[in-house]
Amino acid sequence: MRRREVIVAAVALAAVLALVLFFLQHRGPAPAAADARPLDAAGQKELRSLQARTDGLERRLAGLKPKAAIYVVIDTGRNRLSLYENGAETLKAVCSTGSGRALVDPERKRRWVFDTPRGEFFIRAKHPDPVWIKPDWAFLEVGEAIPRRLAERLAPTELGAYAMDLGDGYLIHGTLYKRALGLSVTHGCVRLGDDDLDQIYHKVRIGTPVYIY
Amino acid sequence: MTPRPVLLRPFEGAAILALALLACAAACAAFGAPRAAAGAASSPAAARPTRGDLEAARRRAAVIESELALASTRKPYLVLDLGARALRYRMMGLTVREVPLLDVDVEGLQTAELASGAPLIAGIFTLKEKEGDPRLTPLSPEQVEEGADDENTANALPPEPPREFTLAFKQPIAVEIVGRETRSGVQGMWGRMIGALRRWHGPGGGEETRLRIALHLDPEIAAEVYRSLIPDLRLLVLPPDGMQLPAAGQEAPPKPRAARKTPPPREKEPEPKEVPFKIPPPEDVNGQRPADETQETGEPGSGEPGPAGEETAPPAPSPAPTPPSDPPPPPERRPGRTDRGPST
Repeated sequence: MRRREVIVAAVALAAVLALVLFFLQHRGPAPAAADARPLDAAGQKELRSLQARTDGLERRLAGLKPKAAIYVVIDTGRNRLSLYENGAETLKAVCSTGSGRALVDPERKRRWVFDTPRGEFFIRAKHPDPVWIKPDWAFLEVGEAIPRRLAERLAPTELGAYAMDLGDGYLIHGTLYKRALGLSVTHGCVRLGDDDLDQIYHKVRIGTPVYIY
Repeated sequence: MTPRPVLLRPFEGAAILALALLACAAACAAFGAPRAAAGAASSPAAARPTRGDLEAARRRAAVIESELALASTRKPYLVLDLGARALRYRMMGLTVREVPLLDVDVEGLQTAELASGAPLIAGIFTLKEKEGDPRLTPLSPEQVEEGADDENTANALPPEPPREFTLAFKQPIAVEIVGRETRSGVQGMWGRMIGALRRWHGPGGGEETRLRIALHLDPEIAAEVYRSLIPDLRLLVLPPDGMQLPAAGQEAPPKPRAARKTPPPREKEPEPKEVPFKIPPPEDVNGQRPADETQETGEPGSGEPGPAGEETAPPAPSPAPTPPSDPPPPPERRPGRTDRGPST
């Protein structure tokens, strides 16, 4: 073997070694193997105590799960609304949820963030033929002056045929903008298509839980 | 006189020998741990519980305790199970969605010690902001002027969610979401190459970041995850078995709140044993009680407490849930609420 070949082989070996070490470093420390040594009496007592405590915590956790026969689940990531009846998903609808955008009112120093709220809510009221009273941001958003008269704020067809109140001004309602269903475009409400809205409206009752994530 | 052939100089031979030894050590380090773990797993199970069982029970208790605290907030939270390579959307103890992770890169995990405390086994972190969050760039006056008469116009639509983004937390950890191509063909190959280069580079994060996590998932799912994240969302990170989290300021599990229940109607107070019944006060012909009797029995407004055993009106029922009857169409709302009124 020539001297040059030996040097090339050494360099190649060093490169391989450097790569191995690099990946080892990025893998982090290896997990420790389970300790198979038997427990002493004190350890066994602690184990029994921990198991009893864990059982109690698991029971409490299970007690938090939804118990209602009918409930609604809204996935803001996928813009999907599901209706569950007796634990089974009986309706899956495409919806629109909050855009997450912000709007500022430079004159009055106000700021709105158009997010659909997350968490547990309840249907508080059901409104057929709802009339939307447009809030200030609805005018600011399109560069219009905020009207002083209430009549100028009324939008009788904007919310579709039905609206279900989730509280704090957030609604599940219909929409004129069907093309935007499936997109995150709303100002926080949940929009549904006409057929899905009709079915949901007639299935849920006041007090039906709505889970939004 | 011919010179003696010399293939290697002494320092070159020593260097090669050192490299070879290092390679052997690296190989042992790489393959030694899994073998040891496999050996431990294949050994016959002892009848008595082991220290490993105790450690597993500690981990389980810590995880359930954190979960219970988060579930009782009645808000959604994320569970990042690094061992199972899964990201779960949980709410009130229910998994509402599980996102499979194609790959996970983690920097900063430590080897678990038997005496480790619960906060290092399951860490709760709070999302501060996501990269490129549209809420950080409010609509400008120019955009408003351009207007969006129709909400389907481009100005009204939010920007397309990114497929790769970083999440900043209130604690010194960084989570990077990497949308990785899983399709076959040239596009898929290119995506996998990019993903491999990113994994080579490792998870992002500043110098002060104690824990860096890169989650590789499908690009479409990455966009969905992006849309679903809002500030103050809690993330529960579970390290793999045998590992623990670094001390990165993880939050203590919040105290579980009592379940939200409709208060039951007030029960009738028990009557005193000595007074089995009370003779109703006399009434005059007009149904009015005499003034002194009214005072004695504590009529409303008299300022006197009522007699023991007398029923009081139950409190008004809580507003939700209310009886299942549809209300009439809503009256017009007060204009004063319109600055925070219903949204569409």
